[in-house]
Amino acid sequence: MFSRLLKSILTIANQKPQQQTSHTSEPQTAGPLSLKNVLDEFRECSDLTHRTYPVLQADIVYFEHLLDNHKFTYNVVKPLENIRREELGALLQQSLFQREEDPSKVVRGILNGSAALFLPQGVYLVSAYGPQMRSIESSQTESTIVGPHDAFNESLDTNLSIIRRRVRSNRLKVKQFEVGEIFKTRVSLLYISEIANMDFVNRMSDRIQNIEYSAVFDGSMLIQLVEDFPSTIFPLFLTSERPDVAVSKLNEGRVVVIMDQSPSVIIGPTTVFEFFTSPDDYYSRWAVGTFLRILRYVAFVLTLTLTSMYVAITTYHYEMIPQNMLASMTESRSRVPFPPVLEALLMETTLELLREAGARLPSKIGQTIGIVGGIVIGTAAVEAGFTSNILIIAVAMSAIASFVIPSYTMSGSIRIIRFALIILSGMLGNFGFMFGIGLVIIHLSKLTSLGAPYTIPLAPIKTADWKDTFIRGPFWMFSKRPKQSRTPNPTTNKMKK
Amino acid sequence: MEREKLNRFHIALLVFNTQSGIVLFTLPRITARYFGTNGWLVLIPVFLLVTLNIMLISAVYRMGRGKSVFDILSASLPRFILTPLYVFLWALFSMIGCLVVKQYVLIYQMLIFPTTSDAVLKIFVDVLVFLYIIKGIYNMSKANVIFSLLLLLQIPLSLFFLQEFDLVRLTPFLFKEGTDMKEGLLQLYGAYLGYELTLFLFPYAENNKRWLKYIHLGNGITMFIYLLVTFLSYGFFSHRALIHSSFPMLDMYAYLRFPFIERIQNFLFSLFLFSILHTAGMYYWSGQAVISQIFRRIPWKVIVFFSMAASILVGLIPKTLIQVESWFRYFTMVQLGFSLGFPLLLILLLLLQRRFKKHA
Repeated sequence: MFSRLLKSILTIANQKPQQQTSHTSEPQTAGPLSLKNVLDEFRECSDLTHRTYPVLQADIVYFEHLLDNHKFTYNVVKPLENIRREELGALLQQSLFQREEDPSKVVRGILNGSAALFLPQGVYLVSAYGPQMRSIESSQTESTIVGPHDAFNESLDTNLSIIRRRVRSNRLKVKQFEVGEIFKTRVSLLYISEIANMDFVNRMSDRIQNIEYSAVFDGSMLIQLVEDFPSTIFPLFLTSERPDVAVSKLNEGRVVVIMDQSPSVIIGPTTVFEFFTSPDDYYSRWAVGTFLRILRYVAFVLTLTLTSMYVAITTYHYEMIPQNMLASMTESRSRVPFPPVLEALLMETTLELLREAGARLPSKIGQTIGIVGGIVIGTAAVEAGFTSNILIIAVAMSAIASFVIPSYTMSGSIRIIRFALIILSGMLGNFGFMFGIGLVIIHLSKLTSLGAPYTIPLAPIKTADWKDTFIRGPFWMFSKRPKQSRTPNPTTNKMKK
Repeated sequence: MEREKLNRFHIALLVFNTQSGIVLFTLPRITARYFGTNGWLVLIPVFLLVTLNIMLISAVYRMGRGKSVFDILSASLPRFILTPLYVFLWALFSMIGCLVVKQYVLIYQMLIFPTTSDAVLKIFVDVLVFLYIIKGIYNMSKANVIFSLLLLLQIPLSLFFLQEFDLVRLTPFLFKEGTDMKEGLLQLYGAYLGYELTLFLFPYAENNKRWLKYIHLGNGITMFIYLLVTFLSYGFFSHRALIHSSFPMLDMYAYLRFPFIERIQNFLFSLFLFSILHTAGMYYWSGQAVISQIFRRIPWKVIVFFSMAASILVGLIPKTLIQVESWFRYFTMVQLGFSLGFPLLLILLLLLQRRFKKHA
């Protein structure tokens, strides 16, 4: 009785690892490589196509929607239709036809967009990958006024081609990975050898290889699986849909990761300040670029502080309001029955609702939302005595300022901090406000992106990089790559042999 | 990867922000009360004295070739002497850290939140200090760069006072109508304290000696700020008015007016939370560094937590600002003894070690 129990436990224990490996590695096919076994693997996959050529005793198995029809017809179908049996050997000598003996590799090949050719001589894979894809369009989220307008799309190959067209150098290296235990999405890691620090390349490669997740759908999701601090609210990698941004970062010694099925590429290591830059800065005259950049930092301060300062001042520090403003402010506040913190939270929440509704709705209805929000709620809220005019101005200004920040992900992080600051200011006025700012600074100082400091060049201080951080200096000043890249070739126009 | 070393300039800012703090608000009154007319000039000789003291610290680094002070001590002194010394230093540093926060909070309560309990405010600052320290000295130094820059951004505000500044108020007399100069010197020297904690930064600094100059730079920035504030206050108020003002700098700030905002003294005083945070953080961190020599197996973050908890409990005893200031006075005196005596002790030990090595 006991021996039977022990035996059954041992068999279960022995089975367990086998189950795990079948889940994590290549698809395991039972039995030897044969058409029947491969078709068995794809049973109930009604989108699989199976064609037979009785004269040649050939069978082709493929997914039609994964193939480029043109390539497939000219490379496979036409030759097979017009060839005699004796000539088949010569045709299979072409490098296009790759012989496979491992059944699991054949299954993987079919899934990757190859056609599997079953012949008496063996099994051959012919790559004709080319599914229907969105064409190269301009970016909706990162539009610029001047500069190139092409943007990445969901095809890894197209995206790689866009980058290769720009970086015409054999120094551009590409490492390939597959991510997702089941979905096996293709991921490419790009860097320029002798410019990128190999520590970053290796670190990123290790992290991508160590991802344990069944499916990764987008670059933004991939970021959350490879970043240094998964619980932080700040984005620790830059994302961009623009090839010019990706290429410029490669030139700075950064690592770029492109994921299949994702239009945004991941760039790392990055700094918090890079989220306030836009390609427009570089395409404009340097004085204009500098002005825009300073404007964005001002917008950052405004969006972060305006509403919370209103709450702090109107709750605890009325003395800070100049006398000529005091009358209109108290008059405006006098009809509001709520404390300022509640009033501000109410308005900020309304604004967030409008923003979220506008983002999810079709653009035509989105305009209606703007009218409803701006005119109906804004004016009506003041007239009904729900909120003061001054707060409407503060909230509207901070909202406009938040739109100035080019990065949507950073803008989202700032929104959360803004809410926290409003609550803290409502609790303890200026003291609460400073407490919140202190928390953010302490948090920021610990963050790293791929192990490099996130707040560089401010902390650690690297004044040489300030000319392309807080301002956009003229190009003749940019002779060095950013310190964060720790590049073996710090000078931009000279490469060490 | 190799552990990051503290950037030299970060060390300068670490020193500056540890030194300056609440004392900035009272400094013009202290100089006016104890040294009388043109008392601000005394800041320069005191600065020179502090410079000499920093040179002693540099000598320890040079003679010990960058060895940690704990290595120097443990190489010569037995454990039964070191343990009580470490406990004493830990208590001293932790209490200074606690009192810095307590003093700030009490002033804040007095000026801005008279109906709020000081304990509530203190809990907020203590939480912030704790979160600050547990990030480690390297991240503390990074955060401190931002804190220091935010504080130094106030320097341009001094331009607004130039209109009201009058050289006549400085008077042509030197140190007239002063009271107790000895006490004044003690207090001014106390205002510069904070540089001595660089003794514990040896293992974290770069391996070359260049960073030692940056302690002087930090001290120089402190002196510049102190001189600027006191000099402006003398010309803005006159020394007699300064004697009767509790916080001359805040009174001066109260005159600032901008189109959208005025009387920003409360806001700027709140900004000094960052200075207090760093000063307290550095003292607690040093206390932890010392006591970790005894409790090597306990994680350092746990030590920080218990150090803070213990000092906060003791810190509950003084209830009023006057009591806190009188406690502070005693601790400052002991700390002064430490900043002079400790480097001297280390130099003595290093000399003895060198002699023994030669004989061996």
